[in-house]
Formats: sequence, structure tokens, C-alpha cells
Amino acid sequence: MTESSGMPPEQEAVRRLLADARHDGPPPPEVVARLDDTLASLVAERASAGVGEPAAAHDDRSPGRVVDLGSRRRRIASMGLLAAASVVVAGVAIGQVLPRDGGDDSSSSSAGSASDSSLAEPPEAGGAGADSSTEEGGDSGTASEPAPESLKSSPSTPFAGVPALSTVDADLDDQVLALRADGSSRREQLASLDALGRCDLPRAARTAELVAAELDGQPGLVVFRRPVGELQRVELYVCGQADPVRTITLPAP
Amino acid sequence: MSSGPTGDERSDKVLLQAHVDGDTDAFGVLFARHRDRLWAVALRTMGNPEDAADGLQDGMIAAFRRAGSFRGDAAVTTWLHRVVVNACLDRLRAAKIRRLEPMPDDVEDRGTVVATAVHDDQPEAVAEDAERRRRVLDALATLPAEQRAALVLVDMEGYPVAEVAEMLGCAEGTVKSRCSRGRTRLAALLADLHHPAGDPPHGNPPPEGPVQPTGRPRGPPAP
Repeated sequence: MTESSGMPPEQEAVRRLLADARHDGPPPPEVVARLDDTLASLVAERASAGVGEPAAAHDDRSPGRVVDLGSRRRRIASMGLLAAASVVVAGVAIGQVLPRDGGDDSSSSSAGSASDSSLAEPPEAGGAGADSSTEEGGDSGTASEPAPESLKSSPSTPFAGVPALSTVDADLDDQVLALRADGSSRREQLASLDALGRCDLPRAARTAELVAAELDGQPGLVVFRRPVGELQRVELYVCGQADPVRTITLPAP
Repeated sequence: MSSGPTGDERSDKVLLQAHVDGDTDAFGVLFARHRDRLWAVALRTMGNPEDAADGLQDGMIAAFRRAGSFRGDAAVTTWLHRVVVNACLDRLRAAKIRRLEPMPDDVEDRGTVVATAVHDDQPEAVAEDAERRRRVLDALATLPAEQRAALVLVDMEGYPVAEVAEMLGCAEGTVKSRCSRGRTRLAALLADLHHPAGDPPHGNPPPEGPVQPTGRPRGPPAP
């Protein structure tokens, strides 16, 4: 001991009591096993981070590990924000893309137009398709040209990976039917802003389900209207055109 | 530092540097070499095996990851103690642990059994020893964490004050004052146990201390 001299007797007695209460012996086996497991995890973690990489290189991140976790949390939070922003943008884009069909849902479309008009400037449904892209002076007649908005976003292959349909195909109905059955995954594709951004269509009813598709070699959308009775109307739009290039009636799902 | 149970002859510093350089086994050898004493410090600082295991594990993880920050100014064992004690103190501060209630039964751990093994033939003495240790540990648990850590390292583990100052990251005078205040408080709590002018039944009695007669027969130390 280092402090044995000049200590008050009471303190010296306490010091002896403390020395007598010292613990000797190894940790309990369960603690040893726990430490061994933790150490093995640390070694494996380090090995996975970089086999043979000196720990000195880890030093910056070792105190560090906490910092890594924090940055990971921040990344996750950023991804969450990005995902939320994507949902918002997708909602805006869908509002732009939905073909305006005054026939079906006049009430809902009026509400929709009131709210969406401030977000985008879709061509008037009443106007001809040729007028739909007058804001950019684009040639709407050549629907193979990407819509003006899409020129700002992403480059080529806007509808890569989406189903290809031909309006003159004899079994188009069956293909669309299959598309409807596969609607959920297609809707995920629809969420791709890369595809939506290139499809400039008038507003449509909000009750429709949309599936991105390639129509006769052009980017387009398949719009599944809300079933009425035992029937469901399906409209096939080519991006940039106000009117559907084909309308199909399917049995309601 | 000599080789540990693993038979690895490398010194502590060599092992730590090997770990920094990527040796996957070096840290395990190093930590196993000092594990028992680190456990003792964690156990007495935290006051119970569960929290001690948590604190020791935290310290081990921190040491593993911060090995590159060891500059070699102090002994590796001092640095390890510092990391473990800091981990324990962090836990105590976070949980605001103040164990005023009696310590759990499992605090009578293997160390107690080992320490009292010489009285195996005297159950009464064993019980007395256990009770006294329990009282001491109970009283120790009432101290502020910093005082407790200082007393554990200085009075229980017997480290020099200067080394403890390095472990705790404070001045030697701070360590001394913490120990002094802690002992004073313990002296009041354990007034019936200590015998300032007499012979404490156990521990390291001063050579000049008179033998205190007791009412019960005491056999010779076990061989």
C-alpha cells in the first residue's frame, strides 16, 4: 500500500477493511463467455471492415464506432427524408400525369384541378392534344419525343423495364388483364420518377390505378378506371397525348 | 508483463501494437492477461456482478477500438484500467446508481470464498468474515462513484496513488482527497467494525498492533 504512514487510525482501519474486502479470482464463467463472445464479434467486425487492415487505420473511427453509428442513423434519417420527398414528388407527378377525363369524375376532377393547378401546368383537357405541350413548343404529335419536362430530368430509356404493349395486338385484352393482376409491382415502377417525369398527360381521375407501359414503342400509361358494376374500363395513354390511344373494357377484378 | 495463461510471451505493449497492426489474436491475449484484476476493479466499483459485467464489457470494447489512441506514456495495464474504470463510471453516472440497499447475495462471489477458505473448519469465522465483507461493501456502495473508484484502486487493489491518478485522469492530490473523504465516511459507517487502536481480525495488521483478545477460540492458520 502506498498510504500507510501519517494516516489517522480510523482511516488506516478502514483501509485494512477495504483491503480485506478485495476481490480475488476470475470472473464467473458466464461473464467470461460473454466477454469472449463480444471479443469474437469485435474481431469479426474488424475483419469484415477490412481484412488485414491495421487497427491504426481504425483508430479514427474507433472512438469512433459510436460516431459511425451516429452517422449511420443520420444516413437512415436522410434516406427516410428522401423517401418522403420522393412520395411527395411522385404525388405531384401523378397529378400531372393523370389524364383528364371529364366524363367520369367531374366532381373529383374539379377538386383535383383546383388543387393541382398550382403545382403544375398541365394542358387543358378541352384543348386538342396538339396543344398539350404548347408551353415548350414541343411537337406533341410526335409522341416518341420525350415530353418537355422530361428533358430536364433524366436521359434515355425512360420506360426501361416496363411492359410493352401493342394496341393492334389481338390479345391486348389478355395482356392488360395480366398487367392488372401484376398491378402492384407495376405500380412500384410507376413510382419511378424517371418514368413519370417523361410522361406529360392531362389529369385523370384520382380513383384510377396507373401502370407505366410502353405502347407501340412509345412511353405511356395504362389507366385502370374504378370498376363500375362488373366492368372495368381501361385506357391506354401515350405520353403527351390527351386522349387514350385505346380503350378496353375488362371484367371487374 | 509476463506471459499470461495463453503462454504468449509478448509484452503488453507488443501485444497492443500487434492488435493495432491487425493481429486478430493479440487483443484477446492481452485482455485475458489482465481480465481477473479488471474484473475485480469493475466488481467493486459497480457493486454487483451484473453491472460489473456490463462495465467490463464496455471497457473491453472501448479498449479494443481505441487501441490506436494509446500513446505509450503509461503502462498498458494502467491504460486498460483507465478505460475500464471510465466505462464503469460512465455507467454509474448514467444510471445514477446509488446502492443504499443491501448488496445482492451474489456479491459474495468467488473471491469471498477464496478469501475465507482458510476458515473452512470454522463456520462461525466464515460467517463473520462474510458479514464483515458485506458490511464493508454495503458501505462502499454508498460513496460517490469517484470516491469509490479511488478507494477500490488504492486501498483494495493497492495501486500507487500516482498510477491511480493516471487511471482516473486526475491529479494525485485529487486521488488522495477522494480516498481521504471516502475513508472518513466509511469510518463512520463501519465504526463498530474497525478497531483503530486494536487488531483488525483480518487484512494486513500492522506489525506492532497488539493482539485483540476475542471471546471465541481461534485456531492457527491453515497450512
